[in-house]
Amino acid sequence: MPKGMFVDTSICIGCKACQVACKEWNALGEEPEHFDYAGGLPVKAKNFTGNSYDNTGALSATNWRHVRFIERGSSLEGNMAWYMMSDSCKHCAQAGCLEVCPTHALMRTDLGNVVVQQDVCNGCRACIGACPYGVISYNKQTGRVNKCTLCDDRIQMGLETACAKACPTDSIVFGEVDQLRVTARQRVQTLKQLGFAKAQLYGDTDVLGGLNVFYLLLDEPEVYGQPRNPQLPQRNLVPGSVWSIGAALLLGLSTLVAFRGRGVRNNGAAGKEA
Amino acid sequence: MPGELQPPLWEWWIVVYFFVGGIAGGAYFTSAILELVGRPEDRPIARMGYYIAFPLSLVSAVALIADLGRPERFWHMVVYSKTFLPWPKWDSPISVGAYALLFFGLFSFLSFLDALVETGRLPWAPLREKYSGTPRMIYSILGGLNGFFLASYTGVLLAHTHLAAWANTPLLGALFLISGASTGMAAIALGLILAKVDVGEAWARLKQADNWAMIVEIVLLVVLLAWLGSASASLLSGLNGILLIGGVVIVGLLVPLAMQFRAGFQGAKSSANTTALVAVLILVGGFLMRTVIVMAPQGLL
Repeated sequence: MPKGMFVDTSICIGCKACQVACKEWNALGEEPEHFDYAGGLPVKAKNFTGNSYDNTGALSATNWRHVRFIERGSSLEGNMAWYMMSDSCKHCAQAGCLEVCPTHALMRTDLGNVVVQQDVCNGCRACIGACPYGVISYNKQTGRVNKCTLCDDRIQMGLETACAKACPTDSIVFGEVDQLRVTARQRVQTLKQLGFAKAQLYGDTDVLGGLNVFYLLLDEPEVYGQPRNPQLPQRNLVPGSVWSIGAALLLGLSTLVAFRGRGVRNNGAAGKEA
Repeated sequence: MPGELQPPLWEWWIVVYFFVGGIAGGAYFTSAILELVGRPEDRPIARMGYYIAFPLSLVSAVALIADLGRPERFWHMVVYSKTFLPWPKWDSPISVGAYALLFFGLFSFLSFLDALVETGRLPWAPLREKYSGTPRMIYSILGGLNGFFLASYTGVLLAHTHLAAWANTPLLGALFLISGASTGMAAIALGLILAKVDVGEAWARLKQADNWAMIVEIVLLVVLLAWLGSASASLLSGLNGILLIGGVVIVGLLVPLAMQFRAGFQGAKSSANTTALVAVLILVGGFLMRTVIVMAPQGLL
């Protein structure tokens, strides 16, 4: 049975314990883009968002988990909404990254999580553009790509993920996906009864065959920076190929017309010098 | 941007790969057509295409490898590193493209040898003896098909992402294929001029074929931009727009076409310098097109 996580954003308090736990367990370094170096030591922090408690801004090769802070409305008007969402790889049931990887470095384990085999990846970066969530990132220092592994080393030993373990409010819960979905659907109903009309699941079976890491959101997916209806990159394969074949036929025809003539082979009678 | 999409950071090596691979594929395809229907006086054109295609297939491979984060693992593209067995992935353009490049290299090498033996530049007796018995028509056709694929799959590869300017149109493969043909023919013309080969009346046929390719390319580019709609903003804004409209459409396509037609209307034979200039402009346009289309949507230009 696939393992995954249910992330209930309605009880996330934005403490970033998950982000820290992920960094620590996976031994992820600091964000290279955030520091200048002198003598091998960071001397100046830069590129922090500066206008939000969201300090990393996005997922990256060294941030496999990113706590989004979404400030909506206005405190002056009394409609301030402050959303948090602990974002990471969704380990999609239909994973575009997995499909496009030419080296088979990206693979799905028997627990349903998608991991990058670092000893196979050659840094072609096809997977980066194929991910509709901007999850996979290129690591310039290693020449390979990185992303959340769903703590593969932990879960294969029967442990829960580091982020779920560290979460103080159980906003992130690790378990069997099917069971998590039942819990999540009940939670949505509860929230709706409490007046959260827009409460909804993101990543139930309707998105890319189901996301093994899925979310309970209090507003529309776009508010949390998530695409409403992500598609596999393969959607363009057949139309792109058909148009290319059409162009090839047109080109072949026009070239044939230009060079029309009976097929005659000349073994050196003309243009001997070339 | 939904999901904060990340660009794959394909930069200059990929631009070079797309450009050179397109020329190689287009030049070989032209030669393969001539192998099938060419007249005797077209033969030097076909040979020049073969002379160009094989070396450029090697350059393509070098550029593709150089772009990898771990170039020493280039062979992982065609052989799974844990079993050492080929493991193609049919819905991964890069995987299929790597095999296509491999086979194209093989076929273009055979045709390259053919041309050398045919002209006596490779006087090695065993090859000369086998020359008339080689099934060159077969590998020309297979190589031509591979050349087509090599020139076009790069566009399909870009469309195989979520970046709007690449993914919101199915026309990139077709555009790259046509551009590969026009730049391939331009490279053949330039090669013939540099080698001081006069192919007589065959010049007109080569130019006519290239003109057709350029006209189709202009139409495709316009349709592609219209198809993209607002997603074409990254291609048309600022320097990108100047390079695409000014560099690609005007300098790389309209000016060469005007020069060719002007010479045609006047009934005069173009001078070698004019033909060379036209070829260079077409090549510059082809390079700029790859540059803008690859770099601009990633915010790298």
